[in-house]
Formats: sequence, C-alpha cells, structure tokens
Amino acid sequence: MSTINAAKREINFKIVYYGPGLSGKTTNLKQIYEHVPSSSRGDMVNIDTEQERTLFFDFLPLDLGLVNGFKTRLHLYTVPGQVFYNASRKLILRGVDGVVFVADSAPNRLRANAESLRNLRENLESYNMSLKEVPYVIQINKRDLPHAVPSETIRQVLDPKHRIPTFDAVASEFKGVFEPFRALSQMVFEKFAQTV
Amino acid sequence: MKAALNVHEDVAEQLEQHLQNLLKKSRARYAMICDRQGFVMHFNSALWADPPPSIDALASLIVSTYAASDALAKLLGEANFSESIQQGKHIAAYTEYINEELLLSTIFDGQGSLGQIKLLSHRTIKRITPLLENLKPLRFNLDKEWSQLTTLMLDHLFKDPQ
Repeated sequence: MSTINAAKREINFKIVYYGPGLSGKTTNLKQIYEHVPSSSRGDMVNIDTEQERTLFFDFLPLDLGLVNGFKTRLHLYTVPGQVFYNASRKLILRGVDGVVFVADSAPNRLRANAESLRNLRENLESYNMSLKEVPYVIQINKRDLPHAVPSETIRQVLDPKHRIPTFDAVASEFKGVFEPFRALSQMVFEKFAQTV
Repeated sequence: MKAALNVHEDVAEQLEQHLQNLLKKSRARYAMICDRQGFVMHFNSALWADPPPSIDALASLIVSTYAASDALAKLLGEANFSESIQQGKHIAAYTEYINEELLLSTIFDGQGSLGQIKLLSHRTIKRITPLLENLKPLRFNLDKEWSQLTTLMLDHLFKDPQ
C-alpha cells in the first residue's frame, strides 16, 4: 500500500520480487544496486543463511527524485524462495504495491515456478488482495542455461492467456533486469495516479 | 490501491514535538514512527547522538522483526505481542504497537534505561494516538502526467538503457 507523506513531500511504493528458490530474485536486486548511482540508492540489506540463501528478505531503497514537488521512493524487497519459509514470504507481502515474479528456466523447476505463483496468490489472499488488483510482471530468468525450457512453455504454465507482461532475462548479466522493473513501476504509478 | 497515510504538516509538527520530548526525557538516541510496510513516517534524533545508520534500513528491519514477532504471537495463540525488545551490549531497540498501521520504535544506549523507555514510549503513544486517528484524506494533483514523468525519472536513473 503506497504511502504519501505530505509533510515530507514523499510518495513511497513497495515492490516485491517473488519466485521459487534460486530463481534469481536477490541477483535482480544486486544488479539494480550496481546499476543505479549511489546517490539514488540506500544501503542494501541482506538477511541470508551461511550458504547465502535468502533467510528473511533482501531490501533496497531507491530514490527517483522530485516530480510535481514530491519525491518518489521505491522500496524493493525479495522474499525467501525456499518452500519452508512461507511465513516470511507472507510477512514481506504486507502492503505490497507490485510484484516482479521471477521464474526459473531450468527444466526441473517448471513445477516450482507454478507452485510459487500459486503460493503468491494464496499469500495475497491472506491480506484480502489478489493478482487481479496487484500489478505484476513475469521475468523468465536464466535464459542462458544450456537446457533452458522454452520461454513459451513457462509462459503456458504461468500465464496461458498471455495477459501479463513477460520478459526473458539473464539477471546475472543485467539482461532483462531493468525492463520488467520499469514495466512494473509504470503500472504501479499509473494505478496510483488513478486513485489519489 | 489506496494511499495508507496522509500526514499533514501540522500533525507532523506535533509528532516532532512529542518525539523530541520522548528523546529528551528518556535520553534515547533516536525515535521513529514507521508504518507496517516499513516506511518511515517520522524520525527524530537526539542532538548529542551520532548520525543514525541508514534510516530506511533501520525501519525495514524494525518493522520486519516486529512482524515476525507478531506472527509468532499468533502461532502461540496470542492476538499480538504489543512490544518488542532487542538488547545488545551497548545499544537496544524498543518497539511498541501504536495501531494497526503504525509502530513507535526507540533506540537507546546506556544513558537510557529500558523501564524508563517503556514508560515514556507508552505515554507518547497515548498522546499521539488522537493525532493519528484524526488524519483526513488529502487531495493531490498526481495524475497521468505525474506517472509518466516519474517513469522517465526511473529511466534516467538507469541512464535510459532502452
């Protein structure tokens, strides 16, 4: 849920990177961190295990600057993808304004992609939200894998009616990182502009 | 999508005053009101205190820690844990529930005592709650043009790679 702080002339949005374990959610945030000027980003927070798997969340605040006298700020979060961390995923979704769903192109992760999207729907329902109202895009990551499942096959599983903006990516090389982030942000801003 | 908080400037001034009083009386370093999404609504620092670490990171960690504690309470059959304490050798954080949307967190060191912080935080919450209950929606001129310009700012941030 976006926040307007009139006293500080700030508008804040919360964007969450969601998806199965090891699909590249943290990599997306790290790439964004590396590709924006240091003056426009805050400290990145990682709460991970000794094996560098996300335990609770990653967090990156971005400052887009002033428009119409208001400073727009984005708070980017990832969730832990591993199945048993669902309680943490649910907490991070509280008040979300938009979701980048990061799918994995590995052949053995097709089911995990589908289960993660279903889990996203269920967790949003616990806040009386649904993917019909929360803007989201799909990033199909790891397109550089030697036996990557065709994007169309993954799309058939996640979005068979082709209603959701979908992007191929190799997040580790920053390919396809900016485009879904931009598309989602635009959807979030447009939705916000219709409601204030 | 609904905008969660519309903080009027006059309310912000009063919040500032209440947080300053809390800091002065408790000898705490920092006090902040943040929403449950992790956004800082108001932050105050004692004049003598070192500059704070990243306030966004601080708020994000405080709110998520509180959220985890709240989930634990529910798991154990409690409606919530109304307060949360993290205490280290030199620094401690005390966080208390204001309402469904907001938390008050106070960071203090050896100059403040937990008992005093709890008492004064509780009093501060009693004083600021009526201010926060009376927030009325504000109207803003943030239309499609704003949305387009903000997206352009995002492009600029990434040096327009498209």
